[in-house]
Amino acid sequence: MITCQHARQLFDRYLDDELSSSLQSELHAHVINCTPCQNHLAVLEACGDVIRLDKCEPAPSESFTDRVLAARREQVAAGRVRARGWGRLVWRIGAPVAAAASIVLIMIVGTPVFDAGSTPAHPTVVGSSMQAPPEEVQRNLLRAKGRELDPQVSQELAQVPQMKALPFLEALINPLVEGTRSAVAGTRRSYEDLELLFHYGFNGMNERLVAEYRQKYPEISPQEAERVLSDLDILKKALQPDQPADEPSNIEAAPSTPAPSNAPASPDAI
Amino acid sequence: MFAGQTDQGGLKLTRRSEKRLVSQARSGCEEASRALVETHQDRLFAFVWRILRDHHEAEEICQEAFLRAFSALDSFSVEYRFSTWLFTIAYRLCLNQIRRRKSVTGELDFAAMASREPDAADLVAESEEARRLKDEIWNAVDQLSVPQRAAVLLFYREGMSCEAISKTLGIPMATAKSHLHRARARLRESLAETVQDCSQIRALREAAS
Repeated sequence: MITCQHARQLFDRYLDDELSSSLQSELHAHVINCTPCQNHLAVLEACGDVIRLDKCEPAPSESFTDRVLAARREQVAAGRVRARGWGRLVWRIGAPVAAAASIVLIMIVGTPVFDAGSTPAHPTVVGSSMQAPPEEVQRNLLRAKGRELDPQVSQELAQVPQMKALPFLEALINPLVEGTRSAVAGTRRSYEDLELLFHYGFNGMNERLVAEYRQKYPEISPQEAERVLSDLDILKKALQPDQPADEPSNIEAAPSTPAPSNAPASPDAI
Repeated sequence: MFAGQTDQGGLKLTRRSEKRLVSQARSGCEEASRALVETHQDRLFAFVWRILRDHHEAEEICQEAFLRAFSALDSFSVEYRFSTWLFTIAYRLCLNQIRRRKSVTGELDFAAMASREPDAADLVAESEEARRLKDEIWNAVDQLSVPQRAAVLLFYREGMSCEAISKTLGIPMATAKSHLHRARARLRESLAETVQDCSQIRALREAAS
C-alpha cells in the first residue's frame, strides 16, 4: 500500500499518462480510500479540464484569414519569400563587397585596375557575375568622395589582415553599404538581419551568428543555415587579401543560389 | 472539405489531409493555404493570446507566424505536424515580442494586463461558484511564467506530449516536464485557499465539465 506522500509524488506522472498500469492501480486504490489525496487529485484534474475545455479566449477578427492571405500574396509578389534565407541577403551585401575585395586583390597582386573617378581599365575584374558593373562602381566611387566611412564598417575592415588598400576599399564599400542599408530598411526583418551582420562584422561571421539567426527565426532550416555558413566563408575569403592570385575567379564562381538540399527539416532543429 | 476530424470544437486535420494541403500550398495553391490558415488560426490565436494577453499583438504575431511558415514550406518535413511547426514559430515570436515590451516598459505586469482585457463571458448557464472558480484558475494561469503557461496550454489544449512540448518550446524534455509540473503545483496552490471542502470540489468539477 502506498503512502499519501508517495501518492502525491505520482500524481504528475499519472496526469502525464506515464504511469505503469500496476502503479496506476495502486494509486487508484489509495485515492479511493484517502479523502485528502482524492481532493488533491480532483483539484489538479479540474484545473486541467478547465484549461482544456473552457475556451474563453477571444477569436481573431473575421478578416484575419483574408488578411493573412493578402499578406502572403504581397509577400510572394514582392519577392519577399526568402527561400534562401540568409543567402539572399548575404549575397545582396556580399556581391558588392566581394566585388570590392576582388579589386583589392588585383591591386595587391600588382595589377592596377583603375583610379577613382575613371572608367575601370579591367572590366572583367568587377564583371557581370559580381552584379556590380563598372559604371556602378565608378558612380559609387564618385559618390563616396568627401564622405566619412561608417565607423562600424571601418572597424570591421580594419580587422582584415594586411589590408594594404584599405582607404580605397573604404571609399568603395561605404556607399554600397549605405545603399544596401536603405534598400532593406523597408522591411524590419531584413533590417534586423543587416544589423546583425554589422554587429558581428564581415570578418567575424561564424557559427555564433548563424546560431543567433536561427534562434531569432526558427523557421530557417539547418540546410539554409549551412548555406549561410558557406556564403559567409566565401565572403571571408574575399576579404582576405593574402589569398592566391586566382581568388577572384573563385569568388565569381561562387554560386549565389546553391542547390537546395533535400534533407528534411525537423521542428526541433528549426 | 479538408478537415479530417474535429476536436472539442476546434478543427484538426488528419495527417493525410495536412500532407496534401502542405504540398498544394507549397506549389502556390491559395485554397490550400486558406485551409491551413482556417484550420489552425483559432487554436494558434488562443495560444498566442494567452501568452501575450493583447488582441492586436496576438493577431500580428499569428499573421507573421503563418507568413514565415508559408515562406519556408520548402524546408518543412511532412513527418512533423504543421501545427507543431507553427506553434514553434509563434512561440519564438511571442518571446521576441515580450522582450521588446520589456525594453519599452520594463517588467511586465501580467495581472494588470489580464484585468485590462477580461475573458469573454461564458454564456452557458453555470453556477456562480463554478464561474468564479474558472476565473480563478485562469487568473492563476496568467500568473504562471511564460514557459510554464505555454507548457500547460500545449499539454491540455493541444494534447501535446512532453516530448512534443520540448520540441515546440525549444527546450530539453526534462525542462518541459519541470515547467508543466511546476505549473500544476502553482495552480493547485493558488486554489488551495478557495477549494477546501466537498461542496467546492463539486463546484470545481462542475466548472470543469
